[in-house]
Amino acid sequence: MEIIETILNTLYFFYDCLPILAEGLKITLISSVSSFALGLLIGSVVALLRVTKIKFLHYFLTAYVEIIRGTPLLVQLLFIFYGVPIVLGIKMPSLIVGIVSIGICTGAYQSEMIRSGIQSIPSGQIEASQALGMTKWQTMRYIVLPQALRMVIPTLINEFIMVTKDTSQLMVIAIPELTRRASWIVYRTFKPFEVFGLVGAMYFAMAYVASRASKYIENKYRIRGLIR
Amino acid sequence: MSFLRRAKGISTTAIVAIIAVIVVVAGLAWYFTLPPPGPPLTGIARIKEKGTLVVGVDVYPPWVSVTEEGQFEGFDIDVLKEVADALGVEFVAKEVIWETIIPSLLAKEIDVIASALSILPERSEQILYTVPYYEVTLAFVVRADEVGLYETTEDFTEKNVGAQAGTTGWDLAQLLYGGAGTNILDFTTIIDLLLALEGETIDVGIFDTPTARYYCEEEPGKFAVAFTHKTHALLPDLYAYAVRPEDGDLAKVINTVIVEMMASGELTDLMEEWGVTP
Repeated sequence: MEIIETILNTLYFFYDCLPILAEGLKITLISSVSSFALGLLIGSVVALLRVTKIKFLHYFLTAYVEIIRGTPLLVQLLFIFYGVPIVLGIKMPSLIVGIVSIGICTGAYQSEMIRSGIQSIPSGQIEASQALGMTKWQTMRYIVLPQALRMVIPTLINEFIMVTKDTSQLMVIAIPELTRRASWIVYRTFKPFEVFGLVGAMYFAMAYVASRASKYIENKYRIRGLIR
Repeated sequence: MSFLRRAKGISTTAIVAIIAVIVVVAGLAWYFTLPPPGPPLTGIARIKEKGTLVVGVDVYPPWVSVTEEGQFEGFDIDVLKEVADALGVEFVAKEVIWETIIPSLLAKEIDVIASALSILPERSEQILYTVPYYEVTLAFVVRADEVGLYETTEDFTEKNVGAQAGTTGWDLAQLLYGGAGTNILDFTTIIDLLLALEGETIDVGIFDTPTARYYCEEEPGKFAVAFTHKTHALLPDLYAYAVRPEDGDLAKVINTVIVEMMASGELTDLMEEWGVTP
């Protein structure tokens, strides 16, 4: 049975690939989780601050979001890792630079997601809370944010999946993450179908776990009785 | 689609049936006018039948480079143009990223691999090499103002080393520094490696000497070759072209062209023209 033999050989081959790919997977996971967390931090701060009356801050944050969203992540990575050291002479350790770059990028997108969540809370609720004598901050803390954050969980998890896939672009700044290590294996074995197929399945597994986690988080933090 | 049903005349079912009939008839016509099947052509017969010699290249000057108009030029291009002339077919260069160059050859997307391909045992299980045309060493490239600081490979053990995965330079870097805990960075292209060298992200780049000398001359004052090093301890590192294993007759033609060019001195002239020291 040739098919069975081929399948078994492919499985043995996958088993041999695993040590190298595991090293890459480690870097992929570290980068995706770190940059997403950084992006969440940046995104929340930016989202809350954009309603500020300080003109300079408002324009600066809007420019940040628009510029980051308007340029490809790849261009940002290449610009920061190759361009900045030559022109400004600042040294760039690759993994930190990679994580910070992706963090800044996803931060811009996440700030828009959080901001739209905040803005979708009906203004009637805000007016009612002010009529009750709550300050802007109290309104935010007790009325707006609890609803807004719960609403944007699925969108943010989706962004996390995008970030995980985007970490594959780190290979252009000399970071040997999962996809690059797959290339290393292909260089030696000339089996792109098997290797990249396996790696694609690994990315899919990560995305699937993330989306299941999303459902779990949504359920766990659901406000019972809240009608939306 | 319901609006069609209500229209007078042709019903939806009739339209679908007519389209289906047309598709089936066209399919049968196409099938029955196919050329009679036979064993698939290989080697020279296949090249002559399609009229083109497709050469897979990865930009790696001075062997292969791209002009501003997007044309390919270089030592390998010139040699393989001679081969295409000898076969009486058109020469076509196709850019392929390095890690897919062998799968592309095997998938018949290209017919010959060019671009500074070293003869390696594991590759010869998959592809058929021609006779070698050049013996190469690896250069340790540093920033021009630091060239006096480095004399042997040990001088880099505490430094950041750059190379391109999948090349002999990478293998040498792993051999010399892999166990020593030296930081070895993998770049997807040579240009990225040189940019990182200029920006001081790495202190040395290890890659083929002719290409290293090319870039040192192209960017005067930026880079310099600290020293060169043999690729393997005992065997010479040789460049050859490569074809599919079943294209033995094509390899023979390429070999003939190379040997003739060696005998007539044309190969040496070509090397001088492209700045390759023989």
